[in-house]
Amino acid sequence: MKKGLSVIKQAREVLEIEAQGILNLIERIGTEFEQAVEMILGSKGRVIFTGMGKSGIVGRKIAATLNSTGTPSLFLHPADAIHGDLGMVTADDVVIAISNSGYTKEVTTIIPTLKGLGVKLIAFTGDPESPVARESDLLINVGVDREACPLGLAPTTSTTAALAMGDALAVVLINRRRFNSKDFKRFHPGGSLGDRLSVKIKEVMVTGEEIPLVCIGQTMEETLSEIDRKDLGASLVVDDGLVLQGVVTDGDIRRSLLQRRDIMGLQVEEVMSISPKTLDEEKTAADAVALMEYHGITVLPIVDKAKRVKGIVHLHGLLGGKEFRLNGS
Amino acid sequence: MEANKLPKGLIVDLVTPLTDTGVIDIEGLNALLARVLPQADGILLAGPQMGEGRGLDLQFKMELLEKASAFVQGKVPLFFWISEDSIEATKELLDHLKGILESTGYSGMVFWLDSPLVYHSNRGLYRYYQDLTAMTGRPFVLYNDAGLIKLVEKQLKRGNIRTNILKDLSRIEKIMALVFRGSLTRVNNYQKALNKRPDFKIYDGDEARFLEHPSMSGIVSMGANLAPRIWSTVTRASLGVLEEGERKPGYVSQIWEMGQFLKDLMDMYRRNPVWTVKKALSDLKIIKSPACTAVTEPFQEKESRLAEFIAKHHIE
Repeated sequence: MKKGLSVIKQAREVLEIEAQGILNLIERIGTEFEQAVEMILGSKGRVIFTGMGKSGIVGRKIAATLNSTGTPSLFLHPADAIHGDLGMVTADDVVIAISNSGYTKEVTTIIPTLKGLGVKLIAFTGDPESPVARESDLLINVGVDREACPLGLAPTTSTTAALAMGDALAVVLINRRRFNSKDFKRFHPGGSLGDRLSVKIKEVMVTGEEIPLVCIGQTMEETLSEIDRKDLGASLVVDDGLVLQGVVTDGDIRRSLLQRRDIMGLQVEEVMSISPKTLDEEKTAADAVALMEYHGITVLPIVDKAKRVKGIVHLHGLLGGKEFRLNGS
Repeated sequence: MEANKLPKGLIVDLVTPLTDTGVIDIEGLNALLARVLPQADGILLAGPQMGEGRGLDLQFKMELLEKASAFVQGKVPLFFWISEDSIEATKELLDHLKGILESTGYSGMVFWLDSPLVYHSNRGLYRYYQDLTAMTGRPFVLYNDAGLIKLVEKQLKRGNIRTNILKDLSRIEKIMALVFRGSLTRVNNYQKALNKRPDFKIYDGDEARFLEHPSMSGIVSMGANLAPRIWSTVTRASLGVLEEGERKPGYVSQIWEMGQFLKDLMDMYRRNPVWTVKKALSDLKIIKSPACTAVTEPFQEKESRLAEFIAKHHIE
């Protein structure tokens, strides 16, 4: 028992130390960070990360994040750099050297050559007085007060901090470049979430006979049957002109059953929710998801300006819980 | 050496070698300094733990600073614990120590280490330090140890510097660091409060804490009196600044073993660090006597075998 408690205590301490490491970075973000962002935005080349060991792994991850968000980036292994890979670096590039101590020999070795090439150098280091910091054009201080690992054998808090700072850089760059869902789709061609959510609703909404639909005046028995048949957990309620009047969901039915047992003979307008949230078919799937998440709903009627029903979307359908089909494909 | 640049790494909490008659064992002091100096990034003199600072009088402390600084000759920064029982006594000591450095023309770095809660409450500390720091051109390092305050006979309300007070104190440029013993939560709060002073260092004053979750500023170590080389290697490994040649294949497991060894060593002197370490140093003929300023308790068996343990493992 004691052993178990000790394990939990240790694990909590590690998380506490690492969380504190990130929190301490907040105050350190200042003009140099802004300058780094401007330097990258103003560069015609790529952002090249370099670092040894765990810092190298962090560099690879940040490079991957930048690549998928619109900033061309790559990783240069310092050891490979001195054996020819420096040839991939051009004067237009910005190099970000990650070294917590700032004394990593493999990194300090390649700095003079990088400077000779005329690249701009940014240091991600924990020691502002270290050689890596001194040789850099800009210093981003990612220093932490304490490592979580016994004897500091493996960098823990320091790599977490460097990674978080890299994310901060990536997010700021996204916003500065006004990265939009179209770009996201462009950089995620494998059919990822970005791909799904960047399409227009009209391309993915359920249409025609597949829309669960009942008219004002129909019974709840008929409505339940429609919901069951179309399998979206809800039915739209329309008038003769197909103008939306309301929505009946599984939740509405549950609540009615709790109030009175026999609802089968009721007319649908006695159970439906009036004034449901709706969206235009020209909006994107991302807009639909945002609206549904905000209002805590899972289906969304798609209507035109006259409130005539054009289709319906389900949250799971958009996020991948169900098969995601492009209309006409 | 740059002016007032705080070291990063191993600060040896030096024992104060005494003869059996209670004066400084100068030969022992020099021998001990010669042993630790090549491995140390700083030396703490008259510290409240190993240096027995609370049991040394003003004349003794002045002589200690004079002799130690003459030997160290500015090779590493010195830290000197200045806290006395009252504000007046502390200022008097500081004034005399300052006089020693001036009269000897000492140009090395000296940091005044102070545990304010020994003689002052949290209230009014900012104003007090404005006054104290104006007395000398040399910088200050705070020492926070609730355990030490408990030993002080006065019934003081708090054992720790309050976080918001520390935040205020960090506005005083001459206060440059803190040696901390206490809970992880408190030191995290302190770090948060000190965010606007990225140059402000927090040294671990607790060896066990340092070996578990090392502070990136370094450690004030008791055990380094006995095993300075191992403590230095482990500290540099923890701070990620080992030399190229020290990172041979398998060095991680070597560092791990060294860390375990230091924990075993700590177990042997933990109960009564000053007496046990002095006895071992005396048995190893580094200092003349295990004499302490306070009455010693009988040694337990494992404590009396510390010197044998060190000799057996060829510890330097």
